Amino acid sequence: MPVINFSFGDLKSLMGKEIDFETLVDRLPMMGADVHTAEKDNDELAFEFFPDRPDLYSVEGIARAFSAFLGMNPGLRRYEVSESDVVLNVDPSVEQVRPFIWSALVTDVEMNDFLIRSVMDIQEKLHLTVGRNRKKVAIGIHDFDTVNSPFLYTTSAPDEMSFFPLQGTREMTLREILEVHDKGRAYAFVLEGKERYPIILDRDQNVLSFPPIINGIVTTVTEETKNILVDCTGTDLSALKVTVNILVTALAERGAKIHSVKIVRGSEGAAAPDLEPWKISVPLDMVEELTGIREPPEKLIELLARMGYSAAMDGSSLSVDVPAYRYDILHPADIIEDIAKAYGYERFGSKLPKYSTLGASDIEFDFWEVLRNAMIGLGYLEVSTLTLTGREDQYGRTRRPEPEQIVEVMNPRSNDHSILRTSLLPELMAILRKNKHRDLPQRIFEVGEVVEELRNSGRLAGASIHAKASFTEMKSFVEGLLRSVGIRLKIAPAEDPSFIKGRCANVLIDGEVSGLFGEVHPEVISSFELGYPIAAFELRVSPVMKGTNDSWSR
Amino acid sequence: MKPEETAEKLSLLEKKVLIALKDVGSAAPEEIMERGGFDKLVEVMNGVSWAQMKNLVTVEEKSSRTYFLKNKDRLERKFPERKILELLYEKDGSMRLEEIESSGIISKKEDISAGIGWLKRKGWADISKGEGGSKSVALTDLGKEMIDKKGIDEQLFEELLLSDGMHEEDANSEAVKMLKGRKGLLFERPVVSRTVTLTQDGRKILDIGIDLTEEIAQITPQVIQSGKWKGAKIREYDVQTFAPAVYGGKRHPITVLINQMREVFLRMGFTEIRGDFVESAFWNMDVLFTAQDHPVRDLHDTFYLKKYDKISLEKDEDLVEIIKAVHEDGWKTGSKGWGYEWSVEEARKALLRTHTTVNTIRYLSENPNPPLKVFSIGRVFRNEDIDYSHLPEFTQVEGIVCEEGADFDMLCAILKEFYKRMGIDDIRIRPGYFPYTEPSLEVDVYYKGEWMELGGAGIFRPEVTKPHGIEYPVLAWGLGLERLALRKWNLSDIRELYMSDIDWLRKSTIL
Repeated sequence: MPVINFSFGDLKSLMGKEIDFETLVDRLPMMGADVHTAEKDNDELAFEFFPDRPDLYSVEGIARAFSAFLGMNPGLRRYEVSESDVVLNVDPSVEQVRPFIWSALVTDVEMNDFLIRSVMDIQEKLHLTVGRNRKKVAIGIHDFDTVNSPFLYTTSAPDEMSFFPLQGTREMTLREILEVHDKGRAYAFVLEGKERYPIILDRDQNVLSFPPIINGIVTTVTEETKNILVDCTGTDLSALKVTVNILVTALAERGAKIHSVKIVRGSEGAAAPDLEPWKISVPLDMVEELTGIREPPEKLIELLARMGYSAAMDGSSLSVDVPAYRYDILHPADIIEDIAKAYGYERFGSKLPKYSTLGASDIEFDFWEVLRNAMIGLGYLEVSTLTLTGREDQYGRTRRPEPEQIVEVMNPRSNDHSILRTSLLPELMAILRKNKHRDLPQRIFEVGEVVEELRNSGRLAGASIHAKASFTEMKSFVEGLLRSVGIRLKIAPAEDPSFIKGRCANVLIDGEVSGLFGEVHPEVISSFELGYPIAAFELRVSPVMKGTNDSWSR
Repeated sequence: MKPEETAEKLSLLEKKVLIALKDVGSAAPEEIMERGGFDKLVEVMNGVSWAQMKNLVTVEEKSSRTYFLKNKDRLERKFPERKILELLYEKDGSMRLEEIESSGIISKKEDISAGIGWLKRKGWADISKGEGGSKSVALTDLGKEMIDKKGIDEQLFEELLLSDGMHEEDANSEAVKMLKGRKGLLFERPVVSRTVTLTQDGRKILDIGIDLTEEIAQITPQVIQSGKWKGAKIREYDVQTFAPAVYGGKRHPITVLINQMREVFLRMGFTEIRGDFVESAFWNMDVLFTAQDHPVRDLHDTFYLKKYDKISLEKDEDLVEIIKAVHEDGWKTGSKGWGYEWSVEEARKALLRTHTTVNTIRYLSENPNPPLKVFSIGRVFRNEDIDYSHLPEFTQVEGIVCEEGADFDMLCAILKEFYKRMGIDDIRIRPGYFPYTEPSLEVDVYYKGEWMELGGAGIFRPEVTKPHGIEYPVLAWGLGLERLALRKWNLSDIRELYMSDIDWLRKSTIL
């Protein structure tokens, strides 16, 4: 979740009212935030906001929402957009590369440290979240007074054009920027496989931006900047529109004025940005059905105002005006959640389910408990290991061949956690390895799941390590264990590379091989860095459960 | 403890030690054995060490050494210089070196030169150069005298040949030095000699008087069966004396916690469900309305399979069409949808389930009719780097309720009840976000004196429930088990749970 850092003083000045620290840390989470760092005597604060609310990724957005939430400035915030004669032409060649662009002109910007920091932060957070690391959306911010309309969003071959990039040391071609420039290298993946690259130019062929990589140095925003031109390019037009809205309304919260830019694509023209709220209809009965809130419509309209909406009754529904900077409203349920927030989450929790249901446990998990009781009674200590493990422990060190069908993940962080285990025994060996300096004897077991043929399968395994661990010990043990759950087993000689030849046996239940036991091979013991004899067994839970000839076998 | 009480609890061996020391005050264990009428030295030592722990005696240890010979049977009984001396005496006191060598009385040449060396050193013979450069050896007066006598080194050597060892105080130090001058002959080993001395406290006990009636220390079958215990005194123990720890077999802490959770759910009328680790992206993500470009679907967050990388969705053909529509334009759910082109290829990807919610939605899809209360507890997988608070695999607990009248208010009430039964003192509910629930909430719990984040909840979005024909709100909540386990057992590292130290497991509680 994005962490937003801001100054408490700046927040208060944006809210236009004095609030105390306790109100902030108590109430902001109830609007939808996690406290990250907040100390009473420190003006610097950090809160985490949820991924569905990019409009809260700036102190301006937080101030707007929070002052409404506290009832200080409720209702829909309207932003005026004046027309301008600025034009941005779109060349059809962008279609194959990065199809959409959106824009806005913001004038009368009063630059100060808070504003500069905030604009940087919003851009970064929006790039990472809504922008999907600039792939879906990328923003460029320019000093409008350094360039001239009309602007052109077009494409260029990698070596055709060169310009002096921001944070660069010289003029470079587009190809050079992708190969050499820090930002070029970081975001080259977005343009991978493209024959032409997107570029934004002004009337005089000045490069404003090479989206989504880097701006030209010409339009660098400085402390002197008064008027800002915003470009926003990407693959999803509705995401671009919201992104521009979030950015320009944040600037407007600091007193700047918003003007439209005419985007011309062939014969079609559109005015950007579009800050008109849109309408969604929320049936009254849905509010009650989903939340249990029973309040008259006027009260619901008041609650909506606390969340920054305006609303009116329309038959049996509420007609809600949704601010153009909200990205998360897909369904009336999303509006209803906001009603619940304004109502106060702390006020819910009064009625338990009405219908009685008959609970039931999973019978195999119950049987795991039966097995655990038996194992514990026999003095074994339960361990719990991870299902996601490594080849080296499962097959290499155990001398066992790797089965044809194993579940291997494509993107492991480490080889030790790259496949799903097919046997519990190697994991018990790994636990013994970890405890090689602990007192012996050690007798451990695990009941858990392995994965075979992509399906989960329950297993029980145990291991005993001490100077006199032997086949006989394990035979007595396995027979005793299975006898205690009413199983008549047969034992047949077996071969398994993990066990010493001639000291390994299969357990047959109703004629089916259901597990094995024996003395672990010295090579396996050594490869797990151990130096004492080990006797061990592993059983499949399901044949054991079926073989009990009791209610379990049903 | 008062001297009277101490006296009362003395063992017979301790009493005998004290009595043996009564007149002498201090003595070596061997002497105590004799004076006290012990049978074995080990009895003395036991009695002494118990008495020492009670501060009734002190033990002073002095280390010294004894000398001994190794492989006595294989040693020559006579030193080479003695053999040459005897030969010279026979040959009238003087011989040439070649003659000695060829006489055959000494087989090794180096022994001859050693013997000549010792003859000179002991002053038994003179060596001189004769004609043609050959050496001759002639007995001195001392040498002649020594034919009937033995040197101090020879005496010591003979004594050592007859004994297992000799204490350094009993050996002539000059002779020892001489024997040490011969290679591989004399060995020494350190020995500790002990002196046991009665303390003030010990003396007090003696002053009180010691009753030497035979007492029974250990109740043996023989003691019981012979009736010997009748009228005998059974020694009283100091009940606070250290006893070794015993650790039996027990459940792993995670199992203990899982069982508690299962009990809570079962008592509240929930049915347990489970599922496989390998799932399709379709069921794990798409059915739960997680957009196909959502970051949780990235390789950085979710484990995808390498070989069996696609899962057939043939069985779910109809649902696939509906889910495609839900994502693209909302279908009939009243939602706008995500407004992108949904890819069935993306949905076919095989992955390791990232949450147990995939079990839940599969269950709901097959059992859409209320009332429903189900739960699951199982392992889930996220592509995380391993550190003290992260593992790529952890245990998720999840419960859902679906019935007529189920709503957000009921969800919060269930949570309060659920956490109360989990032994949590207090909970706090605040807004949260999950892609498949709306409204969503997060739960903070007050546990062991601290607030901690423990779980999330919400009502399944209509985009999630409507495709399966579910009519009533589905209330869902979940939590990770490990965070709670860490607090419960005061651990600071999640790895302790799944790569456990056996000593920790042995000592952990089963509560």
